Amino acid sequence: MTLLEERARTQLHDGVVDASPPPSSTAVPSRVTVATVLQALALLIVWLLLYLTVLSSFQHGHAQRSLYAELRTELALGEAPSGAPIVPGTPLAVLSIPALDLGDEVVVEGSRNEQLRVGPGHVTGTVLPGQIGVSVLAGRSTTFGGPFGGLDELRAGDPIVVTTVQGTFRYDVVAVRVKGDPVPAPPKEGQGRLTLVSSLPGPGPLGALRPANTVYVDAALESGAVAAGPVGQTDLEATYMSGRLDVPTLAQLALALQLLLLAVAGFAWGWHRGNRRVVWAAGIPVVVAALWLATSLSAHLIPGLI
Amino acid sequence: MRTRRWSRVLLATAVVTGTLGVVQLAGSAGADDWAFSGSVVAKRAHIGEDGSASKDDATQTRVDVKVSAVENLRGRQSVRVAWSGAHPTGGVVLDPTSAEAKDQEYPVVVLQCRGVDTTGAVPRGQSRLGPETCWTQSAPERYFASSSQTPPWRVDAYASAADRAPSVGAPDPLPEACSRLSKPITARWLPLLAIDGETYYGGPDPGVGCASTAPEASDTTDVGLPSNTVYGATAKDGTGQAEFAVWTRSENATLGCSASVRCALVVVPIAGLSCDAWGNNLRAPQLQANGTPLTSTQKSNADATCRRTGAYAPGETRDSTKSSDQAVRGAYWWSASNWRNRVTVPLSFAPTGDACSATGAGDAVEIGGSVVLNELTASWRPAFCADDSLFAFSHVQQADFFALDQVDSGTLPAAFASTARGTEFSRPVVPAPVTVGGFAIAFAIDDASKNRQETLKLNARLVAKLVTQSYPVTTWLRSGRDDLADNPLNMSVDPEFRALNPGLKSDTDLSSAGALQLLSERADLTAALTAWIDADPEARAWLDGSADPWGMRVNDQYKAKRLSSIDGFLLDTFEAPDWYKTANKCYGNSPSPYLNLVANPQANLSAITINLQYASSAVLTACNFLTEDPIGSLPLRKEGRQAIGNRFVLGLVTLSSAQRYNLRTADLQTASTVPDGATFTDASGRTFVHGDTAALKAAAAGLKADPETKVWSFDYSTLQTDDGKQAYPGALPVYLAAPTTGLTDANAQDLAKLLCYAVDPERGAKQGTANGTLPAGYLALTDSNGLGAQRAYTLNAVSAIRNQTKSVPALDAKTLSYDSVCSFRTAATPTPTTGAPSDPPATAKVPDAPTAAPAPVAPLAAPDVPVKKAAPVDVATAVSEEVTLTSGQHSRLGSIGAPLLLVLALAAGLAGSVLRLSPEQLDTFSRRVRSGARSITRGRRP
Repeated sequence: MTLLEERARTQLHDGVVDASPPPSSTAVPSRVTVATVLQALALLIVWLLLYLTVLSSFQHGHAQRSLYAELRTELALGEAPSGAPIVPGTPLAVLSIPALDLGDEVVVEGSRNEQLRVGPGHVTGTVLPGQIGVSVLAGRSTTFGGPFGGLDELRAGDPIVVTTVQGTFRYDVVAVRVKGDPVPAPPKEGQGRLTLVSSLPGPGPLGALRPANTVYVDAALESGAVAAGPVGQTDLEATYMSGRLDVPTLAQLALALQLLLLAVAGFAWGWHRGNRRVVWAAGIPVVVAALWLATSLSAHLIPGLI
Repeated sequence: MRTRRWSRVLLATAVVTGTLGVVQLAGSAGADDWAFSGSVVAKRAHIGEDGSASKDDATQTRVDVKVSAVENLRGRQSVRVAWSGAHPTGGVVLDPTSAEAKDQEYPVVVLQCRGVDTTGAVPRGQSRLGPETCWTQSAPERYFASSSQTPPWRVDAYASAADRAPSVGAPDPLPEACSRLSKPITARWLPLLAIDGETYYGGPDPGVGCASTAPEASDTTDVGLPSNTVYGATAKDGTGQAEFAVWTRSENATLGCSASVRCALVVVPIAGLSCDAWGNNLRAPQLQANGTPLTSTQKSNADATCRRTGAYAPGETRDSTKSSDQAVRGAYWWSASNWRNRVTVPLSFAPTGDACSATGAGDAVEIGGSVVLNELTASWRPAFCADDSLFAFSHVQQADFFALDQVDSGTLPAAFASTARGTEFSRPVVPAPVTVGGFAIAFAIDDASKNRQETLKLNARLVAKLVTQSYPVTTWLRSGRDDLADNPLNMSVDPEFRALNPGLKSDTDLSSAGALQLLSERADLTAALTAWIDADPEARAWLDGSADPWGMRVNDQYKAKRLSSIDGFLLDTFEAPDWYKTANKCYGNSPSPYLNLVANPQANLSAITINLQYASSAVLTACNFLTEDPIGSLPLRKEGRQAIGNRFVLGLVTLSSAQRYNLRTADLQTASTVPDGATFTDASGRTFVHGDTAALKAAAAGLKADPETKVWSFDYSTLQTDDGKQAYPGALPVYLAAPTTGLTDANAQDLAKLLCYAVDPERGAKQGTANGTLPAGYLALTDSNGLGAQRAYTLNAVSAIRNQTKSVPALDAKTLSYDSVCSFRTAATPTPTTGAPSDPPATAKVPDAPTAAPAPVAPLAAPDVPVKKAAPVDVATAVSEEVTLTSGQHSRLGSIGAPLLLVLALAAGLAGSVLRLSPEQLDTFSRRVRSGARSITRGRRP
């Protein structure tokens, strides 16, 4: 009779014992992190290019529609400004360049980056279009709708029609010039001149995506120019081809990027925890919105004529 | 008998011709002083109940008006207006620009108005001149309320029916704030039309919102510029005069006068309202536009009030208990019967430098330095940028030494200065004389009978007393110190001052008479003043410690010091005692040496000229804090404007600014034969010189050049000689310091053009008021002015700068002719000979020439930027082409552009995908690739 049961004998295994630590399924090798970062970077750049070429022109179109509605009423009532001082951003005139398929483009006052995002800007310190003297309008050629894209394709004699509160004026293109070309003589007594400034596409097949230099188009108004109104002071803050790295925009960009990180982190967290469909439906718009905000703020930093 | 008769005839002829000659001379003496003369017949005629114009009490006088300057006017410039034949003024107040001056009887009102005075078509861009475009500053001048139904303006014979209504000109709808104020029975609003089209209605209390007032308007006089509207008093003989400060849009943007916006001076001699109580002069027979008709009693009362001719006798001063008759008050200058008696004087303003940015002048050459040349550059800058053969420049006003440092480092291409630089330049810089200006001690002082003092005599010792803070100003300060214990409290009670200038007001409680307003920053202007004082033996002895004949001693902080070595005259350290700190809370809040607050140097010259023009004391001891916030910031404030009749302010300004703002300047002592130590009671034995052109010319002879630095300066020892006695000690030559190496070719040619302009007798060396000529207060660099040596050196400098010879011309170098160096179309220009011993040693160690700092981002306002094509820096050629080329701008970001970003994105994506594969996957992948490759190659083999 046995009181203690016989214990089962320890079985010995043959062969090699694997003493390595058990694999943790949640550890991600560092290369995968780097890979994710690189792929995210690539996506971000693609998104940025998409924004600059396509989405910014939506913004431009939207702004133009509301400006046009505002300007129409003001022109009809004769209340649009005809001389300095004009608040920057005020719609001034309607510009059409048939040769470039540009019609009914609203020109605003001021030529800083923020004004050039909504459309061509009138450079402060020159007379208004239609008045005696030299009037200068600056505009973008690639981003934000690129109203002045293709300026270098204009030929002498092409019409440019501008409508301001003082009337409709038809300018004829005289010449297109770039750096190194001679500047034309000042307009004669009683005549007006319009100068359009934008950036010139670079050389080569992808030149349109590499605007580096400025191009000027001079157009003359032989007769019918009205007396010049008061002219404002030159705006020294308007930087045309040099990018602006001002602190407020950088600060806003920093905040927007934090917002984007937050949105992406939230999305990732939700993806691993909750119902994927719900997270997808709710999270993607938030991420896209944060992305749009960040890219539009970074677009503030690019030069005003590009 | 015959000879007697002939001799009598001859005598008679001689007498007659002599008288005629004298009369002619007297007549022509003042003829050319005035730029404008005009006249008006000021009429006053009443219309009775039956419609007849009464002949008995109708008056008319012919008033002649003269104005001293109407062309090429600049902002804040003071013009004189004189009139004769006007009705004498009653109820006279001391200050004709104050708000209470409008209640004088029969004043002559002078206003600045915008617009063209015509009944026909107004030229495009201009306004129509009228009472609504004339500037008055305080609200009571534009709103008139009465508790009577019939104030005089309602029965003005020439007013229209609409203007005779009980309430005229009120804004419609009336602002809500007005409903809370008491409603008058009758009210007349006089709206002000601003240049941008906005209407400022004025009103009873704009402060609480009952209608608006222009931004430059204020009811107090220490905000902005004081009003320039003058209610001038006419003396009993019918003559009067006033000084009027004209404003451009920089001083008053609401009025907005400028070279392109026409404005006028309107002189309205008040003859009184012409009355028409029964409305017989109205076209349509209505008496008032709305409201109940006036009763006949009211109409006769109105007629009686309106016909009054004045409560004050002519010339009587204002008495606060007696009110002046409304019908003849200056306040109603706008009423139709006064307004039609006006004389309109069109004003023409000189274009200012604002025009430069509009004409697309592009990059302006910046020249720093001297405040002495402010008026010169203000005149030349618009002329330069409008002239194609010249260039655009801007004058950056800075301390001279600082500007010279910037030239040395290459930040600025050139600078104006007067004294030589303390340390040597690191590269050769030629000091080319430009003109001779001068410093002046301007004063606004009233004499004992409260009239403005026109002349003042100051010797160097008196100025030294002011500058060295030696006047204790208060009794507690004097008793608290040993060194000032025997000193008079301020200059007005100083026996020396009173001996030289008898008859002036003296007051022991006048802090502003203990200080001279100076610039706070070190400037050559102040250096010239201290050089004059240091060179005067009388002043120097006093500064070294000996007392003046009455026992006054110098402040210990300044004893035995050379004034030229002192930087900022604020050496005193004595603080007020505790009881004063309690009494003056603002001082107690931030105690500092008291005399430094009295001295209170100003940051820039325009602050000093404004203080002198409006007699404003800069003594910083006033404490006006808001009673609602007594523990708040408690700042010390300036004493501010002094009442007319009690003015005593002095300041150091330039001769040219004194001319522009019509400031009175003191005569400075040059030589004295009075023995030391003896008291004196008058100015005998001393020579005083006023700062006019003749005295500057005499000073030109006393200018000597230093052989090492080649800078001309005034040799004060010549003042003691007989010839030099008539020279003005304030003469201050100004030179342009321009490097002769390291300048860009464009800058070199431009600076040379500036110097050539300055010595050209047809342009920069011609005195005048128009833009581009030499303004008053400067002496041109011509041989006839005794400045031939300077002119010759400037021409040599022109050549050195144009050719960038890397050396400074010698003083005795051969004179070059104007035509040879100043022709900007020829290829070759002669180089100046450089004498061997005068090459400064700096040329041996010229470092790599620093290029001038790039100009700030070129504004695209002028894409027609005149960038001169850089000719190769060749000693022989100095060509500047006439054709300007487009400069354009370049963006590096743009040149990188999208393609690179796309490539980057592709690369990053590829790298990412590759990295994502684990080593095993990579292994299998590579094995598959290899096997695939092998199979392909195997497949090839037959």
